[in-house]
Amino acid sequence: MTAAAESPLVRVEDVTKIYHLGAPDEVRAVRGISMTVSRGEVLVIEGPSGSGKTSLLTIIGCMSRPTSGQVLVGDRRVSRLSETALTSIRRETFGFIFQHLHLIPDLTVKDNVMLPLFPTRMTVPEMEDRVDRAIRSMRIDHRRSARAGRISGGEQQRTAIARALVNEPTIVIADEPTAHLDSELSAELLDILAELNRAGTTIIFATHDPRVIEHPIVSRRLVVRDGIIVEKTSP
Amino acid sequence: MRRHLKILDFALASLQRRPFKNWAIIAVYAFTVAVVASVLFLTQSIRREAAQLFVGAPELTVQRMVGGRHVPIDIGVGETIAAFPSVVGVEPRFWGYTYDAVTESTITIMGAGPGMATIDLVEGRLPTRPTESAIGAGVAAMWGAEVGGEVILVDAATTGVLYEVVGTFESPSDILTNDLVVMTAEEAALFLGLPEGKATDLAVRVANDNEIDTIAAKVKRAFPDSRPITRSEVLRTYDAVFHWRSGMMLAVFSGGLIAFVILAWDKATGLSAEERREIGILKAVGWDTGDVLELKMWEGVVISSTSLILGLITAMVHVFVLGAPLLTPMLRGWSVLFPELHPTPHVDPYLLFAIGFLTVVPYVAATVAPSWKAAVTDPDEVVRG
Repeated sequence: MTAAAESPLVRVEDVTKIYHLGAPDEVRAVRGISMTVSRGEVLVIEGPSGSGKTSLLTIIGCMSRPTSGQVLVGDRRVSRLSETALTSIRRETFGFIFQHLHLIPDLTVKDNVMLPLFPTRMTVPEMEDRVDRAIRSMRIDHRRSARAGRISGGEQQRTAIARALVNEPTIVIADEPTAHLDSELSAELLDILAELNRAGTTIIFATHDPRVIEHPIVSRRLVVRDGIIVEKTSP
Repeated sequence: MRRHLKILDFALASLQRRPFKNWAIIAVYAFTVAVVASVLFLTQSIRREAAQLFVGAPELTVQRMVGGRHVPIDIGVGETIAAFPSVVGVEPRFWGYTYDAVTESTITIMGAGPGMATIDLVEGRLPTRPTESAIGAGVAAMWGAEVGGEVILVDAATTGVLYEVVGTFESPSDILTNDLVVMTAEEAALFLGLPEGKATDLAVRVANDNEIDTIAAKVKRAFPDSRPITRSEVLRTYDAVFHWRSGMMLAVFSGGLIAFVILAWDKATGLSAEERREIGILKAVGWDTGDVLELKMWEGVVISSTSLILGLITAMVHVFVLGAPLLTPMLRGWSVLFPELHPTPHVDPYLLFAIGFLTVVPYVAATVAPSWKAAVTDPDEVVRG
């Protein structure tokens, strides 16, 4: 476990998220949450389905804007930034591992991993170099030209992680990463993320999987229920 | 710039994932472009040939009409017309047609004289004796005749007459050279059975173009049974005939065009769940709305440009290399008069631009517009599966 640094990487201040605001099916997913994410920590946001943990995760990761409240990434207030600026911060700061992996099955492993780099100003050799490193670190070099839809579940998982790492993010966000994995693949995934954390990457999980919650790399837990934090623990 | 090229590169890779679907769209699209472009190329080419035909034509042609029929005109009428101010010359013309049963072609017979200016002799000379003739390139090719050889033509009295070929010629327009046999003026009059002192029509040269209509009106007043035809009237008639024909053709094909537009619109608007999901993934991994729309724009540009180029090449080969065999029977109704006519390759850049603009722009718009809705969606919807 890496010790948390002093200054927070992300600060969330009294954030609410309301879906379908004003409509009959209005949903208050997040209700006035304040929290911070520190450099080098492994944070678990746990809670049952519908508790608001994924909504909180997407707000932290600049994928959606809060209905009210403030989010600071470093010293930048991101809540009111333009879409382009928000996308740029998301691309430079965060890497995402999705519950359903969300690979494009017709694209090769290499192209899937390269996806986040296409809209950057990086040169093609720089992109190739980044992709090579990410693919090698996930030990899937031998599958780089295979279509993502035709490789094993474990290889797909590694491809998704390589894609999350290719932009060399400060923070990796993993939403229910073990939900569809067997014990062996889950353990492998957690080992990879532990190694990343040891290298200095901050990791945030949203999960209710005990295998993740009780893993020794976890440095802090926030329990979310009905859109509010009901428990904070540090093992 | 680099960023745009990379997105273009990704668009190409993206299109290669669905080769059958995309090549099917390109095939239908290119066929539609080829049909429209073939009609327009052929029409424009024939109109241009017709215009070339009249480059050396007289400003005014005077015919005689009796009972609504065109009949030989007195050569003496020309002397009166020649005395009108601004008229610089009047010459009788002797021309008509004969049918060649062997090749089933209609041949134009013309007496050497006005109009020869637009003819370039390829070999030999123009005829100077009654037993001589010069023949157009199309006729020479059809009969396998050459200078020094002989041809037999059936005259007005249905008698076969032997002529020595003393020259072959061509002109900027195939229409003129293809079916033409030139004789001396006197022999042409005899061959065509024109009475003594009569000509087919009179070619009137006018010094000032602004005076042509005035001269035509004077001719009509002086000779009520005459029909003065100005060069611009003939050109307008040709133009109108081929505009009308191409309009009819396009109307016939408009059903196909509409079907293609529906297909394109359906393809473009009906974003599949898979395509929507892909857009969501791109947003989630760091593409913004502009990047996604640029990707869709490049996909549309690649498909439509490829189709446009293939369609235009197909149309050019069809019209200018193969002689438009699929359209000629419909578009060139009077083609039976010619042994064979190959449209001269000429494409107006404005026409190319118009075809390109009317095909590429709507397709790209129809591709990008429906992607907008999917592209503006927050990426967190992807995270939620």
